[in-house]
Amino acid sequence: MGHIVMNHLEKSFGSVQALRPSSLSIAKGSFTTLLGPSGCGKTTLLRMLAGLETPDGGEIHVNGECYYSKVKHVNKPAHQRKFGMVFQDFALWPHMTVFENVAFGLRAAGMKAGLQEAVLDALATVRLEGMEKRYPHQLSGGQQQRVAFARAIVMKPQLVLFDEPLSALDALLRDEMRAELLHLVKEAGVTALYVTHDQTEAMSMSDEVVVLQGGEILQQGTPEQIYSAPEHPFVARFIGKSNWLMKDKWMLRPEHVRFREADAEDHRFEAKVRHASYMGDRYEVELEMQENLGIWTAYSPSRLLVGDKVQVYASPEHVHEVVS
Amino acid sequence: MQSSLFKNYAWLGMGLALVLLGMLVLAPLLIVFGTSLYTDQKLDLLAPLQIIRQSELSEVLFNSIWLGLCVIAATTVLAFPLAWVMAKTPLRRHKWLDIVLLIPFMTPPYIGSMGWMLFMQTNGYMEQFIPASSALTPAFFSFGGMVAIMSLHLFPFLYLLLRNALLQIGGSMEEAAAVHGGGFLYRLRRIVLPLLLSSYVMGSLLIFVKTIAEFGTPATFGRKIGFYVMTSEIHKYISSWPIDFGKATSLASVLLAACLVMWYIQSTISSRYSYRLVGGKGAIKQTATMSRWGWALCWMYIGVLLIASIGIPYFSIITASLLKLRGVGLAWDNLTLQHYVDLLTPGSASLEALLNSFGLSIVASTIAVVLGTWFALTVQRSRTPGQKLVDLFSLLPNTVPGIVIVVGLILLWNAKWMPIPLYNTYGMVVLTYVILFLPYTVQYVKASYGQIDPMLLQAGQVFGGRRLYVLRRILLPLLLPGMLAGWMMTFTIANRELVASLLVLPPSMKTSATYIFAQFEQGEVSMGMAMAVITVGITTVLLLAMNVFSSQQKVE
Repeated sequence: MGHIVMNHLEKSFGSVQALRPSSLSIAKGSFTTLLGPSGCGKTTLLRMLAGLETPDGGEIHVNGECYYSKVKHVNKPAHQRKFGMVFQDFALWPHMTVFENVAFGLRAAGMKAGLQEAVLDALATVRLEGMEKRYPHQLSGGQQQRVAFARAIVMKPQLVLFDEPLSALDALLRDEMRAELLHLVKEAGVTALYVTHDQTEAMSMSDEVVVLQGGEILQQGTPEQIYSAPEHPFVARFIGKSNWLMKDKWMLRPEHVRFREADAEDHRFEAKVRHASYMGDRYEVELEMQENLGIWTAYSPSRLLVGDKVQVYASPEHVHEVVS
Repeated sequence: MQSSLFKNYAWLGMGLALVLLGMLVLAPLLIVFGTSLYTDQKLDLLAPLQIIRQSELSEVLFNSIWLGLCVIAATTVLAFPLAWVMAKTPLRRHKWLDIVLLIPFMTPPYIGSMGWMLFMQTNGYMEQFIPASSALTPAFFSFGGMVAIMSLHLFPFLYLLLRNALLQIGGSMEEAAAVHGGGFLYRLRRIVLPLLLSSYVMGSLLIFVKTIAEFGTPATFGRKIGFYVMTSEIHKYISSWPIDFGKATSLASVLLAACLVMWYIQSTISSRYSYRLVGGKGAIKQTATMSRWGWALCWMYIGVLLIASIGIPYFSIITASLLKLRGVGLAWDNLTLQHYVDLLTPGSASLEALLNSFGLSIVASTIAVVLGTWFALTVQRSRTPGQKLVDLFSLLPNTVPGIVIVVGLILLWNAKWMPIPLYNTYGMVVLTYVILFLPYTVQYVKASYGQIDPMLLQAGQVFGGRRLYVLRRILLPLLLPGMLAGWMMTFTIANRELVASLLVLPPSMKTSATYIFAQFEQGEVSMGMAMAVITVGITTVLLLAMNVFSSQQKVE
């Protein structure tokens, strides 16, 4: 098995229900992302798993061992769960060197022999050799990020939690670190649970994406499934752009809107060009659809003039029915 | 269930903190109220006022209030122009002035008053410089002189408040008003003054409280000119014959009530009428351009202020400590270091007093730091009612006049039913110091704690640290600067504390403060002032060093 299983986990803060009873399981060695807008309950779920927040009900099992159960009165404290975690803003201890930051967990566990090698190993993994005597404020944002990752993996944890780890970096560095982080996770061979509100991060890094909204899990699946076969109108709208043939029911992605007929079976629509923006490799076109279909997005290889009347086509197989 | 166990501990710690604070801080204050209200076997809420009226103490009450009001007026006159200069003119890049201006505020008032008295008295240093100025002497030894001395001590406090408010208002707020068509006077009336008002009202209320609670100046200058206020009368009724605790506690109750009311008004104003004035990131600080006359005028104003608030008192104290013979007066060949040698002679009463002060301060500040850190950690971010209560009680000694607490402590620990024989011992002095100066540590540690991102502690938990391990490896090291600041502050303030030392020291014991006071009273001015130079010198340098250090840390 090697699973992390959460059953009917729930949590309220005062009168606000942060997470409705939700169940989720994570396969060993997988990279799973919790994706949703702020306030959707994804961070609450992560913190409950880490033991930083006590759930109101439900169960958490790790490798068959019970970590939390309301019914059985089990609640393993955070420091005994043996997870790694990369915090938002990194949460590096400012009064400790890079070495001591990484060594913290090992020292807390009373490890003495091999401590030096373990720490240097972890630092080598994140390519920070020779930096161990520095203090966090002497490092760049990207380096701090890597220290935070080294700290998370040095204990060889069964699960590493990522709490929006890239949100503290500027846009350029974020793109760079995204690829690097994924590479490091795969290299270290750990199971990862990643929280973000950024769909690009979720789609590009994950094996599994879990979309949350309003304290509820809407859909779990591979990035491809989430994109091409959303099971909820919110998922369809939140990830990528969506054109609706019927509100909340029949959905078509922009790249499947064609300006030329390919087949007699094709659906045909009348539209007026509202706006066209040049994206470099193509034009992104905003279309005002006839028959009350609202606004669509489509991609065109050539410039279209605002106000032009156009016909667009779509194959029936690309029209997705949103049903859960 | 580790987490519920933790909750139980927290609850227990909270309870223990409240019980301890109740015993140490609340009980003395309640006993002051109780003693004054409970006369002739019955409770009478107006008893203190009755006693004050019957025994013609109403004049004393009136004196205190009048003094407070006049000091507000005088500090305003001193502080406002300075605040404007330091906020709005190019002079404000002279940051060192802020540090220098802390010196008068950090000088113990009794020592400042002594300096002024030495300078202004008949045959004092001013007359020796300018013999014609002897006409001024009687004019200075008056109510007006007392207001001047106290204002020169307190004005930096109001200045800092006003300047910070002006700095925050400046820039974007005023520019926005100008862009939207406000002329200078219109801006002043509609933008600057309303935003400044809450700071000013708060500042002046605090000045009032500090003035009526002040003991040092009334005990020295006030006594000399026969101007008696509540604090000096309280001291009289419990230290010299005929001792009258009824009158002392009546006065103390009224003083306490007045201060608490003022603090209440102050906190109401600050929560209701103060605005979050965040100068936006791009706020370009506009400075007025100044003519040469403007420069000269500003510098002259600052110069006069510095001479009056620092130059004169310190010149007098240092000179007095160096004079061979007082009668001969100011002359180079009349200077000697002999008083310092005598002062520091092993086995002398003076060295013993000095060492007593150091010893008491070290013990008291160490205990205060331990207790204060514990209370501050109990308060955390002051969210639950229990935490708010601990916060309130642990800061109370800073709110109420020191002399009131001291009277309460004497009544409590000297009571017939008190089983712990602490009164009249070394321990009593330590206890008094700890209680009086507890708020410093609490505030500093609370500030340090507020700056620690809770994530840092949670990270410690996630990476396998138990509660104590996280406390030792992460929390305490991060709190250390705050604890150190609290220790230094307590140490320096305790070192120069006068009123508590006068009232609770065991009969045979002296500290440097009581030594200075006694020498000055008995005419041994040189020895007293040499002691003043040593203690004030050491502690002021320590405080300034700490200030510079902490402001540098903030820059990093």
